[in-house]
Amino acid sequence: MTKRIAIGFEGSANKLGIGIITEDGDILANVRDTFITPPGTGFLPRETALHHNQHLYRLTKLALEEAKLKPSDLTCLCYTKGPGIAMPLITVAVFVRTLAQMWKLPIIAVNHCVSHIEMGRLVTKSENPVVLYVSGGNTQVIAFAEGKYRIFGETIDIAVGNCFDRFARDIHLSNDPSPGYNIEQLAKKGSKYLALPYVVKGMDVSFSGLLSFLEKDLKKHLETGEYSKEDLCFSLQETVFAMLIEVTERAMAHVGATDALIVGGVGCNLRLQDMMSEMVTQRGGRICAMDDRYCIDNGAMIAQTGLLMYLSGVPPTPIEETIIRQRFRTDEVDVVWRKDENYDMQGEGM
Amino acid sequence: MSLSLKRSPIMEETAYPNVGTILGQGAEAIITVVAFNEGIAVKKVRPAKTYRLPQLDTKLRKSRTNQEYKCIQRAEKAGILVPKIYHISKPESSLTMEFIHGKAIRKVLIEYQHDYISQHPSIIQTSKQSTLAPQPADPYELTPTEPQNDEPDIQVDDNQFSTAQSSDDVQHPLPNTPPLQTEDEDIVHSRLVIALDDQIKHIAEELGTILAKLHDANVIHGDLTTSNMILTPSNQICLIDFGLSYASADIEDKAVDLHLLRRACTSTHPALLSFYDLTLQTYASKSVNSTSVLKRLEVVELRGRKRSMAG
Repeated sequence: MTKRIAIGFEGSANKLGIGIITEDGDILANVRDTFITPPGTGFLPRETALHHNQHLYRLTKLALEEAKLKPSDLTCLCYTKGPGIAMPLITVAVFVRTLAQMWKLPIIAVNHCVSHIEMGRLVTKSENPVVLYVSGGNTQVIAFAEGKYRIFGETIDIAVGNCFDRFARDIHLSNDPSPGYNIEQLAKKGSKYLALPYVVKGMDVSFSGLLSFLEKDLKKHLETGEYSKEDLCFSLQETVFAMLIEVTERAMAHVGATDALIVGGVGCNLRLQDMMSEMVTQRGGRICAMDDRYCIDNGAMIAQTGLLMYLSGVPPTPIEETIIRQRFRTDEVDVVWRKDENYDMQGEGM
Repeated sequence: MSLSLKRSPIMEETAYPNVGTILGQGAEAIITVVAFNEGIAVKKVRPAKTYRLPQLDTKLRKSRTNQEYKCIQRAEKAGILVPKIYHISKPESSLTMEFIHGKAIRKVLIEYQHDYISQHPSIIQTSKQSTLAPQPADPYELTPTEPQNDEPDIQVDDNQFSTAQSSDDVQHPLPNTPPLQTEDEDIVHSRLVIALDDQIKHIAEELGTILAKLHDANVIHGDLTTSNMILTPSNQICLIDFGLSYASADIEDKAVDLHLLRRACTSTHPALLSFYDLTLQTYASKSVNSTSVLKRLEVVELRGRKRSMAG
């Protein structure tokens, strides 16, 4: 029997990614184009959708060429159903609908967050980690229990990446390659710590108050030279990451897990990876930091998850149901492809 | 208000633990038994977290230890039995406090539940027959209005405190697993409703009174589970572990506090949800603000943002 191959389309935010993967997990192609806006600005829904629209055809062709495949070699088409920004999501979904009818292939609608986790498990070979999912739109601490990826803790307002992006905009950092990357580089040169609001409520975190606090005295700090941009980036990173590691550790203690996996764009940050590694090593576990190429939104992870779903018998999504959902929660998906593993939820007496 | 105990199951665990025994270790603190004044005490230390910036780490550990100390004091002033604080060390971020004798209420309830079932084996049978709940037609279906509470409330016992079973414990079997054969004891228990005896009823009433006092003193416990309540040999309830406590007069905070207790009850001794109901009923009659808190509690439970999450 020939290997089954899926193509995945991701466009939930400012990155358009198309990836092709086999059932053995070999990534045959994973191409991407990022919509980058000038410093001091962010990406807007309409413009982002337009960007995706302009590049969809070219990238699809490129992915097929890289993988040396014809459309007839594919088994199924996978696309991001959500969560994400509506207009970019719709653009991609409509394109996939069209392809499905031209190529006569089934469609699988995929949850973006779940696909980050599945790609992380595939790449790092970690079987049952507690997952810290940190990106521009999401901040969640997730563990697998009773057939679903359960959210143990999450942000109660803005996502960590959103907090970083907005601060980068405030201090006019470049959006190339990403605002978060540039904050990380500045933070390396900072050393003076400004105490920021540290908001952890049980396993939940909050960042909006912290951002307002930073913005309030930003001008004053920079003008008087009391704190440099570098110092502020340093303080921001140290505070926010300490909060994230703390809630991850709490979730690990709660479910009795030893391994931790970081996924999502902010997971590329080396300081976050170092802090996580220190915490996890002290607990006698292993950290599975992800490769940059997979941490960032991409098509291969959508293809990988869609193929897992397809092969485990999830029926393809009928064309009239290939809709998108901006708020498609991680814990709504029945993870039917993972049957064996389960945490003992009774252990902690909660 | 002392309970009349026939044979006290609580008295069995009166042996002192050895010095050095670790009573608990969470993400944040380690609790050990230490020698103190020819007796023993409990020491709770928040060790340094090397992953975070030292000045941030020191600040957090200090303020949390301090907050815990203050909340215990406030609770004590409100007339609630709490461990006495012997020593607080700010540099070390540790609290040394009284060792509380007795048995966690969680244990008391689980044993009661277990004994009741072994004395009334027929109850399981009845429950099995009557709990053939209809399964969702298509578990893969993910629509924006995914039903969360599609399980009917099944009552085996028409206990006056019987209540709707939370969907937290309900398992949706996958299509290839026949629902009945895979049902283990726990799931069956989660659908049972067990009547309370006088002793358990009394504990629930005591607890309701304590929680009313606590909230009227504007202390939010933050981690109300039945493991954090100790029934002492003199049949009083001692509240422990104020590690997540804070002061607040907000009805939302109080409602969430009670909601956490419900969640803890449904996951650890689900057949005794009437215990929670009686606790709440007593709380309602004793607390000054109970009307608005209970009204908010309904909203909190309906909100269900985290219904199906942490056990």
